[in-house]
Amino acid sequence: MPLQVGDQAPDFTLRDGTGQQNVTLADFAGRPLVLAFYALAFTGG
Amino acid sequence: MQGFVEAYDQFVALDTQIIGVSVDPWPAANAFAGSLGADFPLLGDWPLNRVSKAYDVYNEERYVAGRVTYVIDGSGVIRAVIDEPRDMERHSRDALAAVRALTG
Repeated sequence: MPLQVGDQAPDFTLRDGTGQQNVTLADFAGRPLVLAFYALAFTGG
Repeated sequence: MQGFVEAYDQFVALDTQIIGVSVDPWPAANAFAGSLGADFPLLGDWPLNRVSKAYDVYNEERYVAGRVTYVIDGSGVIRAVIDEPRDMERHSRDALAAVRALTG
C-alpha cells in the first residue's frame, strides 16, 4: 500500500547519475518534485 | 517512463523536477535514461531498495519497485499518488495535472 496524499514524504538519499554524489529530498525544497517509481531499466512503462 | 520524457518540458515550465527511481544499480539506470533521451535523472535505489521500501512500493515477491508516482510539494508533503500498474500514460498525465493544481 503506497503512502497517501497528505503524508509527509520520507527523506531519501539516492546516488546521482555519476555515482559520485547523493540526491536527497531536501535538494528540492521549495518546488514540486515528481518521484516516479518503475520496475527495471529497459522495461516498458 | 516515456510519458515523462514527452511531457518533460511542461514540468520544467512549472519549475518541477522529475526523478525516476528503480532498484537498478546506477549505471543501468543511467544507461536507460540515455536510451530514453530523458533530460531528467533516473536514479538507482540499489542495493538495499531503501527508498522503494520507505515509499511502500517495493514488491517483495518480484524484487522490484511497483509503478507508483508521487507528486511532492515544496514542503515535502505528498499531494498526489498515482498507483496504476497498467496505464502508463496516466502517470505523466495525472502528475502534470496535480502539479498544475499545486502551482496554479
